Order: sequence, then C-alpha cells, then structure tokens
Amino acid sequence: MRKNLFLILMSVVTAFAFSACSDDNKDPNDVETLNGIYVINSGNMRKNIPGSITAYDFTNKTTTQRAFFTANGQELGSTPQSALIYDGKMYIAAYQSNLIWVVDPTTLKVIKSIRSEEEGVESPRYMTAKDGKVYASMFSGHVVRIDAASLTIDATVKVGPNPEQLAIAGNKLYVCNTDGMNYMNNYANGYISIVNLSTMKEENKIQGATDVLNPTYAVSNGTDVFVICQGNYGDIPSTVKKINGTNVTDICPGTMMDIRGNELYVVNAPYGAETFTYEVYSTTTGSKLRDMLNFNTENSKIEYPCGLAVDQLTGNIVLLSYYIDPASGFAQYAEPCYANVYNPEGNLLNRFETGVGSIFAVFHYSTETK
Amino acid sequence: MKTRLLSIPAFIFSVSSGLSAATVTELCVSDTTVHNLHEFEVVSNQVREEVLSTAPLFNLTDEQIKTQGITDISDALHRLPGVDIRDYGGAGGMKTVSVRGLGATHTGVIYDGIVLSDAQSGQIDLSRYSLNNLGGLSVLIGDNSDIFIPAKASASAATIILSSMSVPGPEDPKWHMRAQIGVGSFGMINPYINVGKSLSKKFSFSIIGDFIHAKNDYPFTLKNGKYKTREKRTNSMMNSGHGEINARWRITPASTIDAKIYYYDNDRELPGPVVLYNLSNNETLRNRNFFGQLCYKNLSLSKLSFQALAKFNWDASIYTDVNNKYPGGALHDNYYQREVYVSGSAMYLANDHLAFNYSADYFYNNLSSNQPNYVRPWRNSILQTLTGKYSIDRLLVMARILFSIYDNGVHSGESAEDHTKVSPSLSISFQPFGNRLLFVRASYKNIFRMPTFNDSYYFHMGSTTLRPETTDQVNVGVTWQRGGTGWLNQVVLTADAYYNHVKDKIVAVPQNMYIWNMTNLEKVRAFGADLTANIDFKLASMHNIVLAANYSFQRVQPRTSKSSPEYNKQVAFIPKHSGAASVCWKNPWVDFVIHATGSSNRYGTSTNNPVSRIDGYIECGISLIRTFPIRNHSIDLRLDISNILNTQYEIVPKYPMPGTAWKLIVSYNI
Repeated sequence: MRKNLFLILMSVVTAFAFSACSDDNKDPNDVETLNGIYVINSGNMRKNIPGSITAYDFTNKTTTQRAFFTANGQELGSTPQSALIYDGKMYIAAYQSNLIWVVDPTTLKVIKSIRSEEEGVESPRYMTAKDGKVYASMFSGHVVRIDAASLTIDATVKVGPNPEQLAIAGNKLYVCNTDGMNYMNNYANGYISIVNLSTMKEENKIQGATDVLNPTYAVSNGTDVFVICQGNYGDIPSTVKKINGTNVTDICPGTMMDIRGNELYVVNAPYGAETFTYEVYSTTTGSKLRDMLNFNTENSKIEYPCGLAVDQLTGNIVLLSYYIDPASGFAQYAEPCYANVYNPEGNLLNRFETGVGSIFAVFHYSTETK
Repeated sequence: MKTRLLSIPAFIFSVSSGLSAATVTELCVSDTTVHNLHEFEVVSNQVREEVLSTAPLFNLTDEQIKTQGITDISDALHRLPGVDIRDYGGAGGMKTVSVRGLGATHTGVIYDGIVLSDAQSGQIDLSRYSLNNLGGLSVLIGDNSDIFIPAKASASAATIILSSMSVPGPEDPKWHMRAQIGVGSFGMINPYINVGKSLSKKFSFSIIGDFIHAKNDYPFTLKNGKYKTREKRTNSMMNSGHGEINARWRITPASTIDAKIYYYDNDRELPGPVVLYNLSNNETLRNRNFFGQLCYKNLSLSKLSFQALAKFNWDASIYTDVNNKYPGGALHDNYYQREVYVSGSAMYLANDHLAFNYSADYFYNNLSSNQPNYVRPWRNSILQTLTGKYSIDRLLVMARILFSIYDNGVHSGESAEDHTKVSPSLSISFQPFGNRLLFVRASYKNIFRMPTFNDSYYFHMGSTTLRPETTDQVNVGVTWQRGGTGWLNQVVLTADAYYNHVKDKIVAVPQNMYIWNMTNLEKVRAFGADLTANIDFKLASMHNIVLAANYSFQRVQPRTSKSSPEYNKQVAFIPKHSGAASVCWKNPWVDFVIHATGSSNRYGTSTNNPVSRIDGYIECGISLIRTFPIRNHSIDLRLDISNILNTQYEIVPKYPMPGTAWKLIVSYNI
C-alpha cells in the first residue's frame, strides 16, 4: 500500500515537473525588407495571440513572421489595425494599445511611439497623409494631425462617432464616421466628415441613412473619393459610393476596395453570400472594366478575403485571406491567414503565410530602388 | 458485510436520527451530498461518502478546508480533481468552473439544497460564495446513489455543492456567535458575523453578515519580449456584501421546514485584460442577487417520505464602460433575471433493498434588459425524475430517468425552439471483498444543457434555432479506505477513469469579419483520470500529519471533423495535467500547512498554435492555524501566505494572478 501511495504522490510531482520551464525569448535579430509587403495581423486577444507584422521580401521571396517583435524585441501591441508608409517612415496604428508606432520602413526599428495627450482622444484606427502631415482617425471620435518632421501631434479635430478610414482629395479630408458602437440603433449617427485641411475644421457633413449608412472605408486618387458604406448587414447591402463635393452616387456592391490611378479595385464578400466577386471599375465612368483576378490555379483562389491592397508602383494586387476550416466551412479567425500576390493582369505571382487576423497590407520600396 | 449494510440506511436517513447539528441543506437535498463537520465526524468513523458514492464525489469539509490550508473558493476548487477554473484573478475576479472538459455551462451549482440558475449565461460565478460561510464544498460528477433529490439537481453533467453554516440544534439553548475579521494584502478587509440561537426545541435561526472591501491593486510582472516591468492592477476595487437569515422549524421529529432569505450586492471595478502599452480601463460591474427559499421535508421512518421546496430569485447585472467610443460616452448593459422554482419529491421504500423516488420540478425564468427592443425571453421548464435504487449485500445500483420539457417564449420577436428530452443515468457500486472497504464503481449519464438566453437572443449573434448541447459520460473507478491501525489513522484513495462526449456544442462562428452567429457545431471527446489521496498519520499523541493530494489527467479533443486542424488537439485552456497537494502538521501549538496547486501548459487556441501558449505553473502557500479556548469560548487565529514563491502566472490569458499575499483571520466563537 505504501508503494501505491508513493506512486500517486510521484505522479503528482511529475505532473508539476512538466510545467517547470519556459523558453526565453530570442535575441532580436535584424529585419531588412528593401522591397516588399508588410501585413498587419491583429492577433486574437482572447486566445492569447498578440498582434504582429508579417514581412514579405520581393527580392528573396522570404517571409518573416512577427517581424516587429524580431526587430525590436518587444510586442507591437494589442489589435494593430493599419499602417501607412509616408516620407520614409512607417506609421502603425495599434488600436487597443492606443498608440501609433513610427518605425523605419526597412528595418522596422522603432523611431518613436505617439499617443494623444488629450483626455479622451484615443484608439487610432487608420491613417492618410499629405504635405508633410499624417492624419489618423481615433475611434473616440477624433482625427489627429501628426507633423511628419517632428513626429508630434500638432492638431486635433472632433469628428463624428467611431471614425474609420479617411481619404484626402484636394484640400479636403473625408472621414468615415461609422457610429459602429451604436449598432443597437442601426448606426443612426454615422456620417462623412469633410475637414478643411487649412483650418483643421469639420466644415461639412454628408449624412442620411439612405445615402451613407455605416460609412467605413475611404480611398482617393487625389481627385476622386470613394467610400464603402457597409449598410446594416441586412436589407441594406454594403455598397461602394463615389463622392463628388457632397453628392453621393452608388458605384457597385462591395465590401473592400483600393484605388490606383483611374481604377477602383473592389471585392464584394457580403454576409451570407455564396460566391464573392473581385472586379475593377473605372473611377471616371463608374462602370466595370474587368475581373480583378484569375482563379486559374488551386492556389490562386481566395477562401475568405480579409484584406485588399494594390501596389501603387507596379499595379500588383495583394489579397489577404483566412483559411476555411474544411470541417465546418467557417473561416478560421484564430489561425494564421495567407496573402496572395497577383500581377496587374490578375495572375497569381506568389502566396505567403501571414499571422492571425490579417487585416491590412502596405507595400514598401526603399528609396534606392525607386 | 456489516459496514455496508449499516451504510445503506445511513445513506437515506443519517440526518433524520437527530444528529445535533443537521444543516438546512441536509434536509433539503440529502444526506450524502452535503454534510457538515459534526456529521462528517460521525460518518468518518464508518465509511466516507467519497468511498461509497457510485459516481465520483469529492468533498471538502470545514475541517479539510483548514488541514489543506485552503484560502478562498477558487483555491478550494483547485483542490478538487477534474475541475478547471476560469479565474480572472484577485478577490473581484469572476470564477467559473468546467468539469472534465465539458464546459462551464454543464456545471450545476447547488447552494443549500437548491440549484442556482443563470438562464442568461448558463454559468454561475462562484466568487460570490465566501468560505467564511461554507460548512462544506463538494463536486459530484454524474449521478450517485443519493436519490431523494429534486429533479433539477440531476439536470447537470456535474454539480458543485455548497453548504452554508447551520443553525443551532434543537437541544442547544445557548446563543451561538462567530465574529470574525480578516485582513490581507492589497487592501483587503473582510468582517463577518454569524449569530444563531434555538428559541425553542422546535425553532432555530441564524443571521449572517459578510462584507469584503478589496483594492485588489496587486503588482505583477509584465513581460514584453526583452523588457520586464513591474506594474500594478488598476481599476480593480471591490465592495461586496452578503446577508442571510436562516430559520428551521421542526414541526415533528420527522418533518422540518427550512427558510432562507439571501441578499448579495457586489460593486466592483473591472481591471480588464492587461493590454500592452495601455493599462487604463473604466469598466464597472454591479451584481445584485436576492432570493428567498422554503424547504419542507418529511423523513418518516415509514415507507413514504416527502419533500417540497419553493424559491424566488432575482438577479441584476449592471455593467458600465465609460469611453468616448460609445454613444453618449458610456455603455450601459443592464440585465435583470427572475426565477420562480417549485419542486416536490416522494421517496418510497419498497423493502430493505429497494427504494424509489419521484421528483417533479417546475421553474420559470425570464430576462429583461435596458437594451432597446430587447426580446425579453422567458422559459417554462418542467423536469421530472423517476429513480430506483437497489442494494443487496455488496452491490448498489441506481437508475434514473429524467424527463425534461422546456417551453421558450419572448415578449417580442422570434422565440427559441422548445425542447423535450429523456435523459437516462445509471450507477453501480460493488464491494468485491466483504472484509475490505474497497469499492469498484461505474456510472453512465446522458444529459444536455439548453441554449442559454445569450446563445439564443444575444444581439445579432444569438440563434433561435439552436439544439441543446448533449453530453454522455462514462466513469469507472476504485475507492479504498482503511483506518484505525496504530500510527495510521486513515487512508482514503480514489481513482477514476472517464470517457466523455459532447455533441452539438454551441459555439460562435464568424459569418464575416463583423457578424458572428451561435451554432451547434462541435463534437468534443474527453478522456482522463482523476486520482485523490487523503492520508492521516499519527506521529505521536496530539501530533498528526494529514496529507491530501489530487491529480487529474485530461485529454479533451475537438472531434468535429478529421479534416479540421483542431482535430484531436487539446481544447483551448484545458491543461493535460493538473493537481494539488497539501501537508498539514497538526500539533498542540500551531497547525502548519504547506500546499501547492499547479497545471501544465495550455493553449489559447484549440489548434494549439504555439504562439497562444499559456505557461504552466505551480503555486505554493502556507497556513498557520491556532485555536485558543477560553472557557466555553474560543479564539481562532489563522495566517495564510499564498503564492510564497511569488510565481507569476495566468489562468485566463492577460489576467495576471496575484503574487505573494498574506491574509490574517481572527475569529471569536461563542
């Protein structure tokens, strides 16, 4: 009997021994991406997966996961949302961590982190830039202006509730105020702000549930502004709209978009749809020009799109996608995603693995190559 | 065999025979699932319930809470095998339990004889129940030979049984009082009082008051790659109070009425998960709970016994988050639940070997909210059980059929589907050798849980077409007890192996990046083993060593489809190995306890993505306990130092657990 007891106690002790050690984190290595793509992965906080950046190098065709961590020896933060490369610096908005990282776009080494000192101005989402200034939407209902030389916030403007993407045409900043947290009341207070960049004042609003319900995404080629109003995920579908002054015209159904020159790239993957569409539209006529992608090989197919970006330099297209769980048919939101890179004709060039919750992609070319 | 025969009537009637300190609960639920110290001592001279039970039953008595150095309810649950706790850390952190990988919604909680309900989330936050007021704590997995129970008490796959302190016995005319104060780290202060008296031989009462204030601003180490910083939990303060009035009226020696009025009010700040670079949080939560319950029990020695109970329950959850992102600058999510519950049971003893029980329960639940256009769901539930128990010589067999009818409705909108189910369970215990207290047991239980109101109606996410989530459990085990020989006072060992299956598991799945829906999707298989050992050695006169240990092996696997990357991996947050051990040296000076609990590595994802790994841990603590008798009174002193090695660990990711902390409890007993 005493032997049995000993065995039981030993098994308890052994069980504890399993848990004794943990790996220490590796020393930071250098990351160098002269020409490539950075994918922002929001991670999954509840499942203990931190946000990260996947770096893909065009020249070597190599992928570095957790590139920010590798470069800096520290985490990017909780739910990074988007990035912008402007004037030789990369800005990364980390939503829950409430800061904007400024990093070297080739090495990802941190130059600075920026957050608003103003009480209640918090939670950065998306950014755009013009004339030495970076504009960032803050989910608290603000847009902050960062001076790209001093890397400090030099102006803050109050906009509508829960702003997401913003775009500049001429001297005007268009901000999509989703009112996303007001889902109980059907996003009733959402609208598009038009901010005058000279005065940093909201000088006009585009609103009205039939025109702009749940405006979320915005792009511009410098002259035209297009927005996606996501509707109510029910009878009002997600739609791409063109904005001309304060006039709004429907272009096509769509849930993601990007713009390059006079071409508007639109993905439509709405709730409950059997098939998704990938199309290119004319920014001038608003009519369809061609299909965006050729799904002529197994790997060229997109299982469940979660991001779209068009390379302004080459016209290459990146589609981010979840993997579908073959068992359930549902997207694996807590698992790594992938990115497909297509040439301007829509033929697959490459596929690379990304992190969990891929949400945004930016292209980077070091100045030497340009 | 003599012990066995003795134990069978004891199963049924151990309470009725006038034990001096029978509790409220015993009369409501039954003798074998709950007990208190006095009774435990009586029973322990014979055979322990854990050894006799036909299904796994693990008890922590008031005495064991001391000899194992158990500091709070969460610690107590860690000392029970097969139990996984979701603990958000600190005094204010919510604590829910899942047993053997089945999920928290399959764990029923019984407080003083009546099953607690949370129709909204299906989970009971056990942090509400303080050890100050508990005379005992048990976990029962499946159904055992305890047959005289309400139908709802057998409607969960596993049950946590909490029994509060009793009212004074009928032959005890004195005033009883325990006045206690606890103080501890992180701004914790906890006064408690319990006053009771028997006003006559027929009527006793007690009044309880319990209050905790805690700042909970404990330090933790934040590891971020190559950087390590010391931080403090912020926005974590809690004020919590709880009061009870208990009364017992002994109408005849065989029949009693117990009444309880209960109020709980907890107002706390929520520290939220640790978000890198942004530790501020503005969430608050207030929980209020009121209930009143009446239990009537007639345990006559003739062939027929009855019990009846009634309860009204009201529960409020008032959540606020202040942030500019919300319309109006704040989110207010308030939910109010009500329950009316009645139950009646009859037990018939056909002869010395055969007993039957029939129980019928009805309960009505509803939920209202401050949310605009909330559907305001309600549910009528009718549960009936028919149970038979057969015992002869060394064999004990229990068989039960539960017949459930759930009728759902809403005040506006679409209602969830109604369901009717029949759920069988069977358990057997056999004593192979008449001269040894060695028992072999086997049990099977099929049970389900209804979709909760959140599953069915949560804004945009709920689905009204959900089917119940069904579980099957099979357990085989061996129990052994030996005692009373020289230096060895007592040994109790149990070993159980199990196989569980969950079908139609209700999970949230993404329809797109913004819309999620509840659906019946997953299949889960669990197998594992639970081992426990309780050993009491006599070193010398007045010197004992009491050892207690439990170890659980759990292999909980998603089995939805072979092509899924989750297939046969370990379900998120469930460790493969976990356990606890304690050693107590009882002596005339100061009882000394050293204890440890621990768990192996876990993952935040069911695909076991290495990035989501949550490190295993071992947490050790010590307790010093001394009682000073002063004539008929006594002063108890207890000092606990928990997490003496200052281990930094998390049970829920991003919710760090406290490091080293102390707690001193002084209580004065009359």
